[in-house]
Amino acid sequence: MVETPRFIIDHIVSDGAQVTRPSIDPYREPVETHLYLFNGTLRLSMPVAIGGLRDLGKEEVSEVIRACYRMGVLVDLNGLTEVPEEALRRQSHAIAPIGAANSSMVNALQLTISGPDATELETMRPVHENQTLVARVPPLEDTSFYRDLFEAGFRGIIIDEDLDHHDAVELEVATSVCDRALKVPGPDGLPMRNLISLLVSSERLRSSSDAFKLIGLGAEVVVLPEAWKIAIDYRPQMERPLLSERLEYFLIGVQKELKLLAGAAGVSSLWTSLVGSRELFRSIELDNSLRVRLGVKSAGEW
Amino acid sequence: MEISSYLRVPKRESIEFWNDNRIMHIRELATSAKPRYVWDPCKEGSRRLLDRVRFRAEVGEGNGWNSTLEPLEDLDASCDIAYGRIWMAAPLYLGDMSFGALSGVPNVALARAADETGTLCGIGEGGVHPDVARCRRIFVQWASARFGLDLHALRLGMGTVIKIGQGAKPGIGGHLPGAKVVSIISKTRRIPVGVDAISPAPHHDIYSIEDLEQRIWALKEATGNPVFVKVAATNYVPYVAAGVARMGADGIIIDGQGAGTGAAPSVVRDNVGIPIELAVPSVDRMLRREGMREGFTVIAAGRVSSAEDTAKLIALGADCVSIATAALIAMGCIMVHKCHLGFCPAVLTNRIEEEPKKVLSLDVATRWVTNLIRGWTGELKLILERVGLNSVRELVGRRDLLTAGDISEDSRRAMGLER
Repeated sequence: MVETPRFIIDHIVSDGAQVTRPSIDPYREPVETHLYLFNGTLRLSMPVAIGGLRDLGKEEVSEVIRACYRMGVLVDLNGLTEVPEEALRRQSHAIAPIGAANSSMVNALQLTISGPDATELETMRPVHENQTLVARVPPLEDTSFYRDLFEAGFRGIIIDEDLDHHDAVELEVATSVCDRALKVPGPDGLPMRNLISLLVSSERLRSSSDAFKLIGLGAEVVVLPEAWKIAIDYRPQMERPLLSERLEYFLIGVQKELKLLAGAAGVSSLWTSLVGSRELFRSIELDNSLRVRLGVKSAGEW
Repeated sequence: MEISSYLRVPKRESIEFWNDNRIMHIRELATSAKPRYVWDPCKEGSRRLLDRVRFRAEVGEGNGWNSTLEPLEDLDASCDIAYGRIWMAAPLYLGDMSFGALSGVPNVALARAADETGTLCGIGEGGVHPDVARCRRIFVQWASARFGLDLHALRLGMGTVIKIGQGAKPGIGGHLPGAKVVSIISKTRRIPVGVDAISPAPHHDIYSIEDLEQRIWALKEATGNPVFVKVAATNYVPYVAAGVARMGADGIIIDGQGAGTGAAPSVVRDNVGIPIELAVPSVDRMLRREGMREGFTVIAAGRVSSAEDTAKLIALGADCVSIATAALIAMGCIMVHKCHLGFCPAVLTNRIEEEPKKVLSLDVATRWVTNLIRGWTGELKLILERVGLNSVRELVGRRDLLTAGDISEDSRRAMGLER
């Protein structure tokens, strides 16, 4: 690593398949990027979601939702006070904050949990039986907290690095800790992780490679609240067809890059072979204790 | 117009490994053919692990680098590779850059320089340039698309390289953009003009080590030459190397993260693969553990920028290093990173025109590379003298001569170094 690394994620490299198992050529061979969330109830075309809609106008939010629907991509409606009509029509692709107008009509409901001491953990029940409860939490390195969320009935967790908490750790660490914490058997003997979906979100995430590595550390879906705006050169009141066209191209590009990275590592399906595959990654010049918290081996180790 | 002098290096906005100092050092070697430093000052401030590892001799010497640059004739920089079948005057293998990626003249210059200096030149994937075919010390590459290869081409060289991967894009095949596929390239590669030449990511007949063994022996029988396998430095490279050695190859070329290429998806270039300085010692250790190190050749590639890098990689367990970007810089590369577009200002990787406005002078380019190798070898000998050895062969695997400096504990252990 010669170029200056900024985040933990910049110290992590992915594998390239050489001889012992073949790499996959995404130009010619299929690499699957689709996945199912919330125990198979929601099919997405790729493990990247769009968020950060808080400051967008109503029309623009609708346009983003439309574009994401066409691409089969999840929209994170966090920060909105009202679920737009557009999302109701395409409800299966959005996660709406609880309490927002019309939120009872959306499949996945999100509740922000401030930390392990939050009282919501006790009292929370979904409005409708078929709604999935998703907890939006700050990045914590607290194994029992994540297990408590499962016990409380949440079937989705969004670790949001932009939420403040005095014990917050880096998103990379929280993702890995959460994934491993939930791999233990739950009340019915199955690993809790099989029944709960893990999403992560941070404004600092820049690219498909960041998403790829976070998926490797344990997330199923990576929400990009900021990156897409920079990529499409978003500005308020931009022409709506332009917005959705660029957003779709951005998502196609991200998907292609994910396929390249997966193909290089010999991974044919992101969902089945990459989520939580920390063995595929190596760290370069990370502090030993941090590396252990991440559950990633050091480069040169085999 | 014939290009026979260096262009000014343009100002660059971001910090790059190949910074101005490194470029100027290579240019000095390429014009003078004489050693310039004992210890490479360009490593100061670099984040690269290899730069932060030092020879104990240098640390003991303090600021004394640069003091004497006397020519040293009694030291031996030569090495033997492929179980002693090939002798090299210096442990330098001029990397695998194809005809098509480079525009012809540089290919010939590299091959001629290898002949002149007693080193080796890998010709890359894409068939043999007619003038390169006249050179002796070449390695013919057998890559996943098999471009431009037949039995005749395979037999031209001193050895064959089965290319599995490259450091700039592990797990991704070669890519020559359509704009550069002109009539002569189309003839050598046997593909239509103007069509992207995208090599498959894997060899579709090599899906395991056993498959690889069949190809190794088929190529040995067909050519009578040693067979090398080129792989990228990735997580499991020690296992790969053990497999390659066990299956009868004569050597392995390991290409580390950050190696150069004109055309690679940046997402792969920046995020896949491990640095060569971590791969070489683990491969060396694995091969010794399995009792397969003796005679088997390990060639290290990827950001080898100076004689000191060469010496360090050899001390970490390589037999020989591969240089490619450094050789391009010697031929006038100014690192504008536009190789894939076909309008290289230094006319190294430009699209081949019928009536070109500018061409690189073959004689000058050959001399630059020859000089570079001579100057480089001179610096290598100076380092040998400082560490108290008589030959490059004695340096192989001498990790005790290195000190880990400020690198992390994990990296230090992976490299097998003491503080």
